[in-house]
Amino acid sequence: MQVLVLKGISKRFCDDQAEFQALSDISCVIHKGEIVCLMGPSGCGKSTVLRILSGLESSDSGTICGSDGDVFDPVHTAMVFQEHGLFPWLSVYDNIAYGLRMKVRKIPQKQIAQKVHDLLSLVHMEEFANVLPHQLSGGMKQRVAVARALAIEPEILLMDEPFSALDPFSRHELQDEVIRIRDTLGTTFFIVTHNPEEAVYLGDRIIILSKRPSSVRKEIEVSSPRPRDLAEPEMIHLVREVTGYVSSG
Amino acid sequence: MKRVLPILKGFAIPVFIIVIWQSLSMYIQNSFILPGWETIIPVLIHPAEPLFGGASLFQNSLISLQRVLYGFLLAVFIAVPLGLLCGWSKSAEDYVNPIIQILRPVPPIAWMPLAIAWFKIGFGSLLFIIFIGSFFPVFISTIEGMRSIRIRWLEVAQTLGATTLEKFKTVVIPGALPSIWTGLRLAFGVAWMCLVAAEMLPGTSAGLGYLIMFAYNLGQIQVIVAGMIVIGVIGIVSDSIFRIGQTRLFGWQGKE
Amino acid sequence: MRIWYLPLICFLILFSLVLGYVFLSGVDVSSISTEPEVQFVYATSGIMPQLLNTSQVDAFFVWESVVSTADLGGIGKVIARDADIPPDRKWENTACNVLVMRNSFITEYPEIASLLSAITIAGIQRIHEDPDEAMNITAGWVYGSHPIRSAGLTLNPIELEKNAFPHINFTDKARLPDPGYLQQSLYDYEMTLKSPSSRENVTVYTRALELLTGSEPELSHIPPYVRIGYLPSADLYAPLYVSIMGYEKICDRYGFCLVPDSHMSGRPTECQLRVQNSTITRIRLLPGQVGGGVMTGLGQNAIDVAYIGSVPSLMQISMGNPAAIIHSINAGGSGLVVDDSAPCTDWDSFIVWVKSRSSSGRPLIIAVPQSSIQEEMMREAFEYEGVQISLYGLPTFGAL
Ligand SMILES: Nc1ncnc2c1ncn2[C@@H]1O[C@H](COP(=O)(O)OP(=O)(O)O)[C@@H](O)[C@H]1O
Ligand SMILES: [Mg+2]
Repeated sequence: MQVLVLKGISKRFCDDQAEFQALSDISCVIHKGEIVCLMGPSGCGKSTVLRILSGLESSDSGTICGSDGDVFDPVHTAMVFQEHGLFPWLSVYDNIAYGLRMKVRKIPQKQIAQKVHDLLSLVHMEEFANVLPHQLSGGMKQRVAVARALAIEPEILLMDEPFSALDPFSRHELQDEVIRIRDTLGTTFFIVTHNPEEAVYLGDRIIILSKRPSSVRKEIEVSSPRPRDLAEPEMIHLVREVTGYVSSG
Repeated sequence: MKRVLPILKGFAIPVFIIVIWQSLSMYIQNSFILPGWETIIPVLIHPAEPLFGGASLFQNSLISLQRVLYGFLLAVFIAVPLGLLCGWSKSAEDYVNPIIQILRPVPPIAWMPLAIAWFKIGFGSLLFIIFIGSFFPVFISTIEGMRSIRIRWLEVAQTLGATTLEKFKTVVIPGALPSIWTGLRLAFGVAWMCLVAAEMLPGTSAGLGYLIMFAYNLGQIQVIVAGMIVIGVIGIVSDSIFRIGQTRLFGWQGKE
Repeated sequence: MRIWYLPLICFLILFSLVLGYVFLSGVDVSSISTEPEVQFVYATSGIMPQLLNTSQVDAFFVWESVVSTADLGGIGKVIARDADIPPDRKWENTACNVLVMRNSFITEYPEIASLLSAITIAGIQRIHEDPDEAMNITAGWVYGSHPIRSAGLTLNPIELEKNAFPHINFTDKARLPDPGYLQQSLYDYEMTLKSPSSRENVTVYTRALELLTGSEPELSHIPPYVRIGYLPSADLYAPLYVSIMGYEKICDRYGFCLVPDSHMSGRPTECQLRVQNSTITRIRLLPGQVGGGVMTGLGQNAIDVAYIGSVPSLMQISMGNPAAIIHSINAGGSGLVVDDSAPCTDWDSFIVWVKSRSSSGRPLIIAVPQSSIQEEMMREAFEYEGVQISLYGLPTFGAL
């Protein structure tokens, strides 16, 4: 089932005096429960695509449709940024509860507590409920950020280079976490990454954008069964292929 | 011991000064130049005794503190919302900024002659002076606080469904608060100094500044020194309250 | 949310302070008597016309030429002079301002002290010989001869002095007041118990009179300079002003005088003590704000000689300031000013007004210079009339 259909998305930016086309024509489809990785050369507009989907930016032309074929409502998305973006003055608990407490959601207090506890255990952070973010490691912070985004039960979770600032060990842990969450909750993931290994390890599909003004250059299905082993020749080959597409723009 | 040592270090110089002071005062033998501590300490250890037939040291301090708090809170209640407004809206800042920048360098005491004409001698004019003194630090650090808010936090709030009002309540205010708090701390110090200076001017009948001026007119230097000590102590106590508040409330600051 | 504790904490602090204030002041509230009452405000002389004009005070009692400024400037009317203030013309011949010197200065340079005293007495003589010249000099010293603006009117300083001078009795023979009521208002302060060595130094004065009658100055021991403190805003120091600006006549007559360094300024800051046409020492003239401050400067060795109010000097001397009064400069020169529309024309009708306002719950507010002879006069007069005094802005602390 399709959760997201992008058709001919374009975007111009005015940079000081110069006006330039960032996205020229982005079209793609994302299915329910998929993990889709978005790649492309630096500055090609990957973040811009996510920002348009999350409602932080608007597109100049093109349509975005949701599962029912109507115009897609950014309310159904949540975003995880590269730098966690946690509110430093709120405890882990309050950070996770943040979205639930917004008026639009109309969730009673009791239910919020229950939900936050479920999420804390989902990301293995139960003991840290009352800790302030600055007391956590980078990986833990990003777990909290993921939990906070998941709290509002998005149809699709947008992640902009979510693990690139982490050490390799935390990164692998969190990658497995993403797969596990998808398997337990059935959440759809749309992940921007500049790391081909990560894309190949995580993605059910990899979408590669061309250089600016960008459009979709290539889509690659990754059908290898999980857990995947990047040391297998097939995987190594795939990584090389993806790298080729990204670097040749 | 590790905790006590810095405190002991802090006491070293004051004790040294007092010893030097006392020996010089015994040598000079002129209570108008260096009153001995044997005359200063009795004033300090009898804070509830009326001085010069008027209010006691304690009452004078209380009156000064009360005045400073009223003026300070008035300034806070006006400067913080105005600062939030100017930090939020560029247009509001364009309107307000020039006049603020012009008025800011004027020493609050310079307003006193006008303040007496506008707000009457006594409480009204003092309140105005304290207000002027504490308004600018609060206002400017509120704007500063608004500038220090990460756009990312606002974006996160928006993607999580916050309305403008909710963003204001849950991101802008807590995000700007550490800087506002610093402003409050600065402002209280300025307000305290302004008040004491303003109380030295005519038209007051109590307060530490008044006490000092009265003692000056009567040549009672030991009361002046006692008053200065009380002013300093109240200053340091209020400042440490703000500092403790800062570490307790905003421990996250600078560590995100 | 933890941030909402902040206003709460602020509120609690404020609340406890207010509570403490109410509690402490509440102790005295019950003892407030039902006697008629006035409230005093301490103010500097210059600000008093403004306070009256803006209805912040109902009356003020201060020295010339501030009284004349208010009178001629349309700010108020003068309803009582020194002689009208009870009890019984007491103040007419009481020293209002005096010449004071630090004891150590007198001991070290007795002849210089006597010379300065003699020159002051000569200044007093000159005022009586040529009042017009004295008024011109005083106007120039106090106002710089420029027209003065007051409540919309422009006043000529000379006219002002013509109005003021008849009310001032310049004399070196007035007797000293007894600042008993002021001291009583400081009753509980232990410093008042210190007994001074002596308030007056007659030796200097006696020698000054000798110098004026032809005795030769003996100039053996001379200071490098002498610092004289005074209050430049008052007419009452005219003997100082006249002795400096009118030095020629004094030089001719006595052979000693104070010669200003600059003849351009109507208010010089430096002059020389000359004896038989040779400069003996330099004199610095240091303007002060309040008499008590000048007196404290005297105690601090920052000033050697001062022309100041009799009451501040007596009070400080009685509290241990090592200084002595040489002789008086003037008696009188104060005035009680009220708004033109005030329902009184003299002291008696003023007291009627005081009582009616007090019984209506709005006691009169009167501005006086702090610790001055004017405050002492008002305290004694109100005591005589059975009127209580409290300090404006602090009524709840009871016995102020
Ligand atoms: N708000 C903006 N204003 C102007 N230019 C922008 C803005 N946001 C992004 N850009 C530009 O658009 C291009 C694409 O940006 P981005 O989507 O961040 O690229 P990336 O693929 O590296 O994430 C870049 O050249 C960037 O400089
Ligand atoms: Mg990017």
